[in-house]
Amino acid sequence: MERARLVADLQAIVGPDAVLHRPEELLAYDCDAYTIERAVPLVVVLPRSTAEVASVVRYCHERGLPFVPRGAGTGLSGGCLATEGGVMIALTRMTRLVELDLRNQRALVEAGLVNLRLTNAASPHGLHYAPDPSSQMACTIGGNVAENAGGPHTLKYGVTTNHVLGLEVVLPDGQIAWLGSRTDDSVGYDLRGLTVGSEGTFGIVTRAMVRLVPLPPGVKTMLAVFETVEAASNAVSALIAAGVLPAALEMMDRMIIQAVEASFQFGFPTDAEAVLIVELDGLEAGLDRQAIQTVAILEAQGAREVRLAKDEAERGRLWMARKKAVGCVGRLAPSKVTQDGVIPRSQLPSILKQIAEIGGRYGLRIANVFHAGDGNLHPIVLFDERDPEQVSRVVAAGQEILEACLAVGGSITGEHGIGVEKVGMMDRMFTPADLEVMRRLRDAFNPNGLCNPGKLLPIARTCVESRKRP
Amino acid sequence: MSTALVQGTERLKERLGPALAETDGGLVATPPDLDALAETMAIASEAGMRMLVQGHGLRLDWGNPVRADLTIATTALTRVLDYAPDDMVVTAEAGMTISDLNALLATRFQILPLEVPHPERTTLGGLVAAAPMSLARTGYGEVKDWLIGLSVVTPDGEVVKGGGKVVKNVAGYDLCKLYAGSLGTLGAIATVTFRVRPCWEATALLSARVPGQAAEAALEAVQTTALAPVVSALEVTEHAVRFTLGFDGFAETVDWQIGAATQVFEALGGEDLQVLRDGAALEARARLIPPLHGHQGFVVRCSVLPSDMLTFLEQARSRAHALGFEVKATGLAPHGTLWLQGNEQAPEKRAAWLREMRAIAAQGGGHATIEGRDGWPPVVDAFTLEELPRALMRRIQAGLDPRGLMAPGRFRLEGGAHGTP
Repeated sequence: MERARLVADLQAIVGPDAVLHRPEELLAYDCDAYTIERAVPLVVVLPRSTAEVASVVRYCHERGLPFVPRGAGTGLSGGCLATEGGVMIALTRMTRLVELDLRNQRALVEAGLVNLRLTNAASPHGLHYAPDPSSQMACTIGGNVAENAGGPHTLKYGVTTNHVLGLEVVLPDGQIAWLGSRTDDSVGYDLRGLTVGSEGTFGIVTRAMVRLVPLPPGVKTMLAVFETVEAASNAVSALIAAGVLPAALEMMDRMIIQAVEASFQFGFPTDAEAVLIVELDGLEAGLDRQAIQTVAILEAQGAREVRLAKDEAERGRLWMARKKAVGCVGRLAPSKVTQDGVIPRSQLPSILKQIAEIGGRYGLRIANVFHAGDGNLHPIVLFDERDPEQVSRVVAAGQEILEACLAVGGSITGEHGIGVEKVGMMDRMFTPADLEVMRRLRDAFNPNGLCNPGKLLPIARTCVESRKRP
Repeated sequence: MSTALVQGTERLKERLGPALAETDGGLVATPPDLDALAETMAIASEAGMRMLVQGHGLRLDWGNPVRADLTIATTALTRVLDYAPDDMVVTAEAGMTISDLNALLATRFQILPLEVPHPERTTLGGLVAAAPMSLARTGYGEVKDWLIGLSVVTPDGEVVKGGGKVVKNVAGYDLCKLYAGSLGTLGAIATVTFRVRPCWEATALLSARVPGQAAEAALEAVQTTALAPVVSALEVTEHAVRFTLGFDGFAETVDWQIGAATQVFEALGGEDLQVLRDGAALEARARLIPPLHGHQGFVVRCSVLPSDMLTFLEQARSRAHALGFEVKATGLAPHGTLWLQGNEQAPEKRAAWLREMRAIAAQGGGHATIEGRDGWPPVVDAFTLEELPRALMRRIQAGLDPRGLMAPGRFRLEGGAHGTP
């Protein structure tokens, strides 16, 4: 289709100020936070309502045009890449907090609402939205739903799927469906649960009814300092095995500590090989004993120091440092890829050794900052993307790290999604029969494959021809 | 019987030997291992047999009635395949019961904290397929919060898996969510992987009766409490509401909460305050779980906004009175979940009442689902599904069970209008 005609048609739906089509405007939409692959959409539309989204989708559906939903573009697996060009539907103008129901501890929000804004609106009332990805100052609830996003505190509170009651979804043919419920329980197949984490391949989420959780009355946040990565990872395994249930349990290695310290001057020990951030929360009664038990385990595993955040300000700085850690790594190299493997928690000590070994073998620096408590690794591979030879080493090392995770019974992604980045590894984790079931599920929602094509599922070789659009 | 069915039966006899029985209720296969399960289904599928998978058959009357040519019982599939206490993850075959799993976990001071009726006869596969609500939902959530992986035999006998063995995983579509509550449609659940949690040091329970006029205030108090009950239930009888809060954890945490909750109920004019501890508290919790299906009556599970619970209940009872029967209720206060038990036998009266309750629930975005299908008029659908979700479910079923062999009719996906009372 001729671009001018497409632009004019879409402008008629969403208004002239809500269609981006000049090359310089589109440049910002050619990737998300996974920057190794890029693709420019034909056009970006910025609808303001569900009805506008539905009209745009219907328009694409009728013309066989691929379309891709996009939130804030903070995703780390290329989930909103316009791999086949087409129409990008950015939800960033649909930012309303439609309803804050304090009595029933839930909120109805538009997909483009920024994660942290919801918590900021709820916290004066003693509530918060629990999933807290590190990008929560920018990422949207709709994007969180697409990826089933996690965050440090999901160790105790659960990931996005545990906090979504229902979803308004524009299906790939433009019909508007409500999946799940407005109440706590739904009827029939859990279409809500299936859609959370479907990476935008089932339709475009336009609204979500989410749970709000009371803020814990008591919080203790500790920084434990270790001389070796091994001791720190042993401490994580020991805490889990002892049945301690922290709200968050995060690890940062030396490279991260130094980058963070250079940016924030928090007072991290730059000579330490690893630190753990351990947060305990809940009612005040019992919290002290839990803290004593935790400190004892950390010290028994060789922590040379366990520092308790003395007030809310210090705690805030500690979390700021943790959540900005990946950004701080920008000081160390021009480019980075954040990997996202998961392993059984008892395997932490051995997998970290393997990651260091893989980095050494490929001549790459790898920094680690991750959700240790649930075994969700984030090795950050540092490189320069202007050098194609380095890029190919980065990709190979990343794959080897994920293979190592699979070898110990793990997963290739804990919270970032498959996107385009890992689509080639799905057949390492799943059999052809497993993938066929997933393909049929996608086809139930998205039979023409126009909605976010090229993501999550590898194209079945036998089906390549039949899937080509006329 | 068609030739295909006769031939299928012969092949099943050959493959299963004594594990195939011809009973009054029809053919029952009890495959001795996972391979036999897959082969049984492959043979049945080739013969075009409609299949009904069950554990001990406790919840077979959930959902709409199913006509099957072959019942497949998972009760011989009881092995633990992998238990990693240090990772707090366990994988077992679908026929193992919750009680047996928890007996194993208890040896390492761990538990799968789902409190449903008859854990000693509820298999793990049945737990996933029926997804009954847990009494301790407030603290420990539902089955889908604990299920992290599963394998399923597709209707034509192929084994597929979803999820994995790690506690955080977003690779591929979340098949665990799809199969939880799928009531035996789509495929046979063969193995399940749960994350589990540590047991607790102390447990206690406080219950108090609150007179009618203070009930709304008490409901709001427990729904918005700063305490952390794992059980928050209410039982409603003629003139009063009894609230029960259950606490688990460190002894001092539990004690402090019992004290704080006592003050709350005393301030609200609560009467007959009872505190139970440890074993007695757990027994009281088990007694609170509503029965599977009504004894000489019926059970309907309703979902409404938490704030609407008491007004909804009032309407449920006045409508029942008008029809000449009684309704009592158990609810999970923070979730707006209500089990309504009615003592009416006459199918038409039940249906008339249910029609009204569904209309009232729908006004607030809620619904009412029959738990236990016996004694309802055939035309009454166990569920209320909206049009588009129903169409999506139909497409999913067409994709995963194209010939409609697995528990056909369970969700009545064929029609839009038919079946709604």
